[in-house]
Amino acid sequence: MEPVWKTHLGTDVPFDPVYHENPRVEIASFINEPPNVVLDIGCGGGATGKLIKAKFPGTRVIGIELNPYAAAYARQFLDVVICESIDTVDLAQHIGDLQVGTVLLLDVLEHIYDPWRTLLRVRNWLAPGTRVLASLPNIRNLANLDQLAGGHWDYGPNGVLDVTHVRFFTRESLQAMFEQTGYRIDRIEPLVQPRLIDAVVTQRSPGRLHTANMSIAYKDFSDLEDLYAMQYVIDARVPALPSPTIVG
Amino acid sequence: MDAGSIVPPQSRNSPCPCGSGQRYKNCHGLLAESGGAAAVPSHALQRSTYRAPAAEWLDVGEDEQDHLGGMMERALAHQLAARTGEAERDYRAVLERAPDTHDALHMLGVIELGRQNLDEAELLIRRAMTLRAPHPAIVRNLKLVEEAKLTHRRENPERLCERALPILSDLLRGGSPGPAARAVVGSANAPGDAEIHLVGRLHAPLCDDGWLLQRLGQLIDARIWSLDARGTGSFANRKWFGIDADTGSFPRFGTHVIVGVDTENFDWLDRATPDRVIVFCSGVTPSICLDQLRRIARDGARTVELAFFSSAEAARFGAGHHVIVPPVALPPPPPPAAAQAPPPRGVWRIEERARWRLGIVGQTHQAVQDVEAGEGLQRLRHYADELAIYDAGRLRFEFGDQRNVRFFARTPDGLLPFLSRLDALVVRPRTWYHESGIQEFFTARALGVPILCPATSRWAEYMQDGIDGLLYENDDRLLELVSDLRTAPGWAADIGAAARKCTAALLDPERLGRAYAQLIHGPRIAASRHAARAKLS
Repeated sequence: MEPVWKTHLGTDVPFDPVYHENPRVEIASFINEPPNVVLDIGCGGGATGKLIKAKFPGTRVIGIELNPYAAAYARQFLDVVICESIDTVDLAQHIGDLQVGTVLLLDVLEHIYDPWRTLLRVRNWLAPGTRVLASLPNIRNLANLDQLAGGHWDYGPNGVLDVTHVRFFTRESLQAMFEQTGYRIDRIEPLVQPRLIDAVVTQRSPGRLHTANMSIAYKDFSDLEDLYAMQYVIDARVPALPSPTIVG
Repeated sequence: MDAGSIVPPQSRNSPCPCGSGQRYKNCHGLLAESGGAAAVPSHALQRSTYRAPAAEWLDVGEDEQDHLGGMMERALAHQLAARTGEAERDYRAVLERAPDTHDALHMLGVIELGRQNLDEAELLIRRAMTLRAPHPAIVRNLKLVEEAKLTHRRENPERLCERALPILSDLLRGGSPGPAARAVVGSANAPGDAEIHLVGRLHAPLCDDGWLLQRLGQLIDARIWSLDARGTGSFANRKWFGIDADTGSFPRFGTHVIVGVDTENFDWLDRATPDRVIVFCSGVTPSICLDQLRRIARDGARTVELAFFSSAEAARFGAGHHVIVPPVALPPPPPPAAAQAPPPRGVWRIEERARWRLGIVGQTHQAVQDVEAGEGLQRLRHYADELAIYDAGRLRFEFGDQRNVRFFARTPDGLLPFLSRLDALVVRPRTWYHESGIQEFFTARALGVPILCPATSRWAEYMQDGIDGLLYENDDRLLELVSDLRTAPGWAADIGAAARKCTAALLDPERLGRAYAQLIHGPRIAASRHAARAKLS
């Protein structure tokens, strides 16, 4: 089999239905109310936007997607799809003064060399109170730790160690990233698929999990949940502008 | 594996899901039509339609292929009719002649899976996979085997440990009661007045253990020790001390009330010489209980008393343990409904039909585990206008796209917004040691939300079926009760009111405080080893 760096890196990555057409049902669970206009940054084939449109009929979804094949596919489902890099796109040019109510950044930031600057840029487009839902892989999940403890760090075509990921985060570091770039975090929720982690747990003892290559202590439930979390969902808002201060 | 393992594809011309590479109409479709083995015509043995891919039956002549194909068809018909013995015989006969028949290997694997011979099943299905390009049906069955193995690996040790719990219980009660009889000067140090130490994870309020420690700290006068922080601090106007074996900061003598055992930090206990030890260990797997309680009891050298929130749970550990109401705080009374001004005359208003809301709790907060999202839950969703899920965990992946499912995150004050909008709360059946939801259950009752609870649940003993709650034996009965409840709002209101009244008395802070004081200051339960032996003989 070809190594992933040969097949999955580069500018002309073809449209991959498994990768780009994967609807994020669990993300839709965070949207309980009609989300107004949705801006889906890194919309892939538009599957999640389609899902939200089905859950809340009448919702307008605007997608931004760099991969031209995926963007062309997404045009079937979304209202507007902009095929451009998030770092160069001029949003106003495409949507005018349409006000965005919810921004989705699903598994996007870990692909970007400077996600901090991207977050600052996105924040400047948004009105105070705009909701931002982002998901990021948790590098501290137990399957990954076990792999690393055994001396492996195998990039794959998808998952936490997707070969196109350039930044890695833990719960603490992703929280810091959003706070430092001026977002107000409402909550950070782990996404767990317990079976994936149970598969690597060989034994349990009080306050401790054992795997083939390591054993790790956990303090309490949230710590345990962190080891089980494949991803985190950050539910944040753009805060009201700080009152202007005059710098002398 | 039952007959349902082969689901007909939408088109009869699609490839058969069994992985034979033939069209469905020529493979399982033919069998489905013939209605099982009884209807397989005898001539089918001569003129079978089943053929393995050419590479598998290279050296088999045309006549023999007919014969083997007939056997495969007969075997499958047996399998679909759940006659696994006959099916196995035929598959094995085919394999004896043509050992590379992947369908026979695969189906034998499925039979072994049904018999829970998981290693054998995996071997067979993997062999079938090597003979054929990955096929969804084979991949799916392999996944089923792997999942079954995982569940086994996780649950088997717990079942074994569960059987050891009563033995552990004897060990705990057989020890010496601690150095209570040490030389004491003055009556203030008499055992009854000895200092009370509450020990646990103070800084994990969302954990059941953390919550319980904080709550006990409010109810009884005790010194609070934190297993999850060093130094000192204050909590609810009370000082707490961090436990640190290295610096000698840990409780000594007196009564130790240990809340939660799923932690490593018990090195200090060997030097702490408590006079009396009471442990709350609800909601933890039996293996963790065995490990840690044995350690706290110093392998039987020290008496340990256990306290539980239900006699059903206590009974798993044997007789003679404390059973006490969980110290849930009464929720604040609902704000009085604002008096609605009558609409002005002549103004039309469209009244929105009230939505009937059902609630469930997803994840327990002691262990991360797969929450069942089976058919029962899917059906339940259709019995209400809205299904509210508190702390959904993995259920987000199942129900995220459903418009009538609403998700509530578990936060320190997230419970009331969830419960206050419910018309009924459904408690789902779980393994007894994962039955959490202490606060959810009692708070819902105190708010007057009718609860439907499995008859096997540990909470069932707090309810009178049909009076202040409803018990169900299976999902069919649950759905029946839910629709009854929905169509009879008066009945639901009566149940809610009865639950509210009963729970208000149960959770009254003064009464709770007295109950806990009595447990902690009251007589020890532990019988001496001699008395226990005398009882046995």
